[in-house]
Amino acid sequence: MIRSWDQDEARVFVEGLFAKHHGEIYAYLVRMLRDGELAADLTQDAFVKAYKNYDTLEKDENARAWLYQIAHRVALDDIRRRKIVRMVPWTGESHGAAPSAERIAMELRLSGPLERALARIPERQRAALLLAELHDLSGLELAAAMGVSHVAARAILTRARESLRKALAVEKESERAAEDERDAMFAREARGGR
Amino acid sequence: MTLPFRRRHNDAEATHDRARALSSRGLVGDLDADEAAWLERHLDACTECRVEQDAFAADRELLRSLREQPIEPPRDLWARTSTALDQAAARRRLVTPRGGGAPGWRGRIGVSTWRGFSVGAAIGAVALLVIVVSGLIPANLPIVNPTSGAVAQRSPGPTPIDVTAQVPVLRSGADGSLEFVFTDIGGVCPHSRPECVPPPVEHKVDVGLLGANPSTVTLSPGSNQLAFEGAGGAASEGKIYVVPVPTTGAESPPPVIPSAETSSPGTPPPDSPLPTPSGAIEIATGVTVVGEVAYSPDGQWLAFSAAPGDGSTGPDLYLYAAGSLAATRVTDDHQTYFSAWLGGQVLASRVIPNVEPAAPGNPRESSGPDTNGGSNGGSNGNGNGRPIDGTPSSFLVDPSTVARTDLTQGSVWLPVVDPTGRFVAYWSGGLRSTDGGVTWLLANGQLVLDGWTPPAPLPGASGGAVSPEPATGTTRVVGPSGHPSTLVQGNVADFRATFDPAGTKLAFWVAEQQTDTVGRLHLAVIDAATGSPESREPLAGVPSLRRFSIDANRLAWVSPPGQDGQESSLRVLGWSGDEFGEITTEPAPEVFIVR
Repeated sequence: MIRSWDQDEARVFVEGLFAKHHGEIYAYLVRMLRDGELAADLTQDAFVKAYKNYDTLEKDENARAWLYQIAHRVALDDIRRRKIVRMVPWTGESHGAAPSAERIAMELRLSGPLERALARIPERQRAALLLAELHDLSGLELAAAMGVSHVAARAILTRARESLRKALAVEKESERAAEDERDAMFAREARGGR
Repeated sequence: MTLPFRRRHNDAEATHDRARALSSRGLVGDLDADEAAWLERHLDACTECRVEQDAFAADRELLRSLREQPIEPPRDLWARTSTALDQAAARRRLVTPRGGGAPGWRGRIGVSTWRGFSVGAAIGAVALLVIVVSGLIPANLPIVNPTSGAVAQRSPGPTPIDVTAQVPVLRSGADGSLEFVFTDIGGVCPHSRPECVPPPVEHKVDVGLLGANPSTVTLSPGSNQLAFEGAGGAASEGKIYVVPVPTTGAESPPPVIPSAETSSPGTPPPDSPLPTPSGAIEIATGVTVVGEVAYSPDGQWLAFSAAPGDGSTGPDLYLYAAGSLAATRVTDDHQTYFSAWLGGQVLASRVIPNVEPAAPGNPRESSGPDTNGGSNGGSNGNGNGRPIDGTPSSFLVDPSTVARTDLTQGSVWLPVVDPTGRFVAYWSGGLRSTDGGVTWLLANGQLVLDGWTPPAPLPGASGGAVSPEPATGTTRVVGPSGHPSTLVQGNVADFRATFDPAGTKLAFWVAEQQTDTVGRLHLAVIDAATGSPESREPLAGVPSLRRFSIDANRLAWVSPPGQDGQESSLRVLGWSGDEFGEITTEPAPEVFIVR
């Protein structure tokens, strides 16, 4: 059933959706985009799109997956437009001259080896992992949110696990190399100090 | 057609691929019994696949551990989104013909780029035309109705809700200066019929504000006097003024004539300034207003709390009698906050710091708050940056005698009583200070609605609630009745509450951070039988600036300025019986409600 678009109904509905889901949508977009401010902007965009497209939601019980579908598309569109994040490991450098405390806290939160590994894998695979494992979307919901068939969603998820495994291995190797380098530096300093 | 070359797996690779895929799906419970059995058999025979499955499981646990690190959205996310939704709705109203027709935005979400291009090109052409035409019109110039001064009327629609109301505001004009405007409302529209009535009619009044950058502007009940605080680095910063407001259409405001006979709670300082040529009187200097400023219902008194401008202590209660030369400080404990007027009396609250046990040889740490206005500056001997807790208490003050009546119940902070004297809204709980007791934040507790027990007259007393200060030995019961209903669950760092004149509705604004200027505004309907808020909420937490105003048939607030240069609007929810409707005025960079 296609519902008609009623302004008040759409507004009330989207306000309800926002109250229930804005936190998880924002968290999903932060982990997809690795930028809190951008994620906030796109969360806002996602709810406006939900409002405008309220009449395309066929069943209320699908609202959450539908909202993730909107957020996912908003994120992928932005990634394509900006060519950001992908294959650019986090360096810990700030974007501006005077980053806010919130931005610093967010950057710290996104600077662990797992987050860096997630940033290394293709965005559709990253989305599949986040949606399935962090946001608990079922197989069918994942397919709907990603706009692909159930079979394709399963395949993306499997490839995502393989990619994450390799990316984590790379991150662990990088950390080991950095530790070895630090140890060597301390050893040199210790020898020089004698 | 030529298909791209693709390497065909041999049977062994295909089997391992299948095991890998099933291992992945098995983690999310997406296997049927046959698939699970096949996978188990394969893993028994394939060590490499077992290792891979274990690795998948370990990575999955690692991923799910991110749940322990929640990411909090920004506090203003709803305000931003709500403003964006308003704009989307406004755009839709602009492009949708009145009287219905096909609803907008039909179709699926993912319109192809190709289709979007043709639509986009058309929109672009229209936008270009708009830009060219608008370039010929001076910026920020509203289309003015020459008879009323209001923005030109939209075509009226059917069945508006009749609401006659007036909302005075201070608003930035086209040249950036502040204008004092009375906004007259004749009706509001049901939500299903937006813009069914003409926009409000506006009357501008010229008020000399001394060129100051005013804040905390408050209009008297008779609309004949404004009180405001100079701020923003102006020469008037740290000073509080009252200034006469001329009758609409008057050429210049008559100055306030100070009267030596006017009753006042204290003698003005000998060096109090005389009225300025514009009629403004500097009633206090070197202070900063803390919290609310309000005239008494009869307009004869102005009450506020203010702290020294240097931030050395907390606030005291000040009263200003209309027509006198200066406000008088009527408390000296540096811990008193004005809350509201209750008829002709002031409701105020003070904090009792829960001082830590005395250190040997340090008598200051064993004392309570400095009630003598001395030099301890409200630090209570605990100016070490450690948080200290405080217990609020509230009391009534008679402005004429400064006699005080303590409320019977403790832990009542900033109570507001409805004008009919039946209900009270207040913070029920504790307070906390992290700066040695100069400023206090809401701690554990909740915003509640309760019944109100008014003070019974003392035997032989005329007109009432007067007792010596402090009110020790007082046995009269006055205050909340002790059957509170929670108004807000969750995090509240700041609030403001006001009843309508009939005591049937309560508007309350809450913010999650004390420094937030944007919070959520609610309108609750009070069930007269139970004294509790009804489940229906005509206004359920809309983004709003702190200053709002409620009257007999309307609630007015200011929508917060959004991102990307979006401006504020005065919004009014009006009601007639059980019908509620809304109207919004044209946006402006700054809008302040003054009463």
